[in-house]
Amino acid sequence: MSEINGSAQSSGSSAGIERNPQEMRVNMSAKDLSPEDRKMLHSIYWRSFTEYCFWAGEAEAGSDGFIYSMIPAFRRYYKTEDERRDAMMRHTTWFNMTENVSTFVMGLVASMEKENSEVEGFDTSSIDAVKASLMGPMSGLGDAIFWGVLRCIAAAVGISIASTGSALGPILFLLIYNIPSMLCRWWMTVLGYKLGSSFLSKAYASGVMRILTKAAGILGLLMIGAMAASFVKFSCALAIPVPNADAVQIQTYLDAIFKGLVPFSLTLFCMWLLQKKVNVVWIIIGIMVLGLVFGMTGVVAVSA
Amino acid sequence: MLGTALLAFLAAFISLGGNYIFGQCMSERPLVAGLVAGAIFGNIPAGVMIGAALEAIFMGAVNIGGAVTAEPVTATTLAVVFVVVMHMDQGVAIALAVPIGLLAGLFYMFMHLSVSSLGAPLIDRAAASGKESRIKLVHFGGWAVKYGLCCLPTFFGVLLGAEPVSQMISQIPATVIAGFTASGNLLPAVGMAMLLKMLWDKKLAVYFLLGFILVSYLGLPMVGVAAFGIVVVVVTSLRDKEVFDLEKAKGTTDTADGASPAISKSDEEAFFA
Repeated sequence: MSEINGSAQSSGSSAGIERNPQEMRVNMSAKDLSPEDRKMLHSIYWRSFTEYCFWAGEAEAGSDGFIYSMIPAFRRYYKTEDERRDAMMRHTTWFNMTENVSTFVMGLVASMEKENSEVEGFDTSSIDAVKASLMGPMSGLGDAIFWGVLRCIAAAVGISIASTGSALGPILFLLIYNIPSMLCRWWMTVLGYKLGSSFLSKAYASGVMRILTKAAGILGLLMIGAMAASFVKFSCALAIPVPNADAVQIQTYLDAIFKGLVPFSLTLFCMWLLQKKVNVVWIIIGIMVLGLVFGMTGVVAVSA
Repeated sequence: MLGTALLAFLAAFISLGGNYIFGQCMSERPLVAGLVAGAIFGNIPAGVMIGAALEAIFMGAVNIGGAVTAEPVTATTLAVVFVVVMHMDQGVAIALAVPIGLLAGLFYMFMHLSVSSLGAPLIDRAAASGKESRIKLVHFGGWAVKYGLCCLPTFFGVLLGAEPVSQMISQIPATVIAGFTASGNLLPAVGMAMLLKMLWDKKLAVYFLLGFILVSYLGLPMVGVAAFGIVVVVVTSLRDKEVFDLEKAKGTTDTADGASPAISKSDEEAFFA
């Protein structure tokens, strides 16, 4: 368990906006937090269990769960209705991260919302940037640790007992997986919040926040580019028959122009539509229909 | 048979819906789904044994980042019902559960990736209203509706019975499956576009291209891209900091504003060089 936390912790501190090491006296103990802090973090922690209970598809993913989990922070830091509404609307973006470690971002975002409520002219796009840049790397580690290692260990133990028909098998399976998972969730919540609070106010006082906001923006865009390249998939199955030779695959030509041309242009095209204030529902329906038509007519090669 | 079908629906809903409302606690795994179905139909040992056999088969089928290859709850619940209620041979039921799981996975994927996307505007509207109760309604209402729908195959599977189910499975046209899969493959573009719109900045947009290239051409994993990104960010930030300190020393008030365009420009030059 300590190993799991250690690796996830180091990822959290290094994958976000870079931090000044001697400023950090951050640990996972909630004892030195104020009672209000603890109350808020507890509330976020418990709400986070429902994070992906709806999941708005590939358009907004876990945004509903993220907003729901962050409500205690909004309630605490924003006094007016308008501020709360703005905060909610800000978080309607795509959020997807291994659930077990996603509370780290919730803690961090809570501290950023606090900063936003206190500091005049806080650049809220840094909140999006932090979320976007942490999603990929933290999911990479979280998926490997929880889905890859812990679940398989739990299942191996569970299957060996359950194959005799004993209900102890599934129960042990649940316990082996969920006890470390729940502990990690709580530690991540506290860690994210403390890291954010101890760091952000100092960054503001010294005036380097603008540099960091830009840095977070760079990292965010870089990670979105990487996510677009790995999540949006397109492979043309069409071929032009050539007499006395192998057929020419259109995908080969597309790759020769730019590898991932279609996913790249499609993502930018969707963003352009969004910037033109086209309703997101039409974009989603359009892409759905496009995919269905491509798949059914055999334009797209589907590996499954 | 309607009563049995309703009970099977309940068992599937407990396993599948419960998984997502209790923090992906793994109750959607065959081991647990088998126990739940076994308990509901009064034969725990059979349920657990079927669950254990299917767990080994569906071990690799997990919901990571929204990509689903199989949906084991429907498969497990149906297998338990076929064995416990319809007295099917356990080995036959397990063999039948595999294609059911793959098919249910396809249905689940379509619900999870495509149909659920239609909930996005509801979230937007709830957030725009600023009312916590409306967020809650979308969040939990969406959960109930979605997993209610996702458990319908279990319900109809029991209602139809084992024979017709296995016949139906062999008759699904491949083109329909290909269409759903292709649709799910393209939809993440919308999600990425929404993120992109929030952070879009003409001066920094080139980093989006860089991230894309790192994966498409170099095939770096996410953690690798992040590590690369940290190097880029540290280098640029150190330079920004130097300029910031210089300007501060000069006593210019408008520091970061003046510095930022020049810095971004040199970044682009460094990148294209």
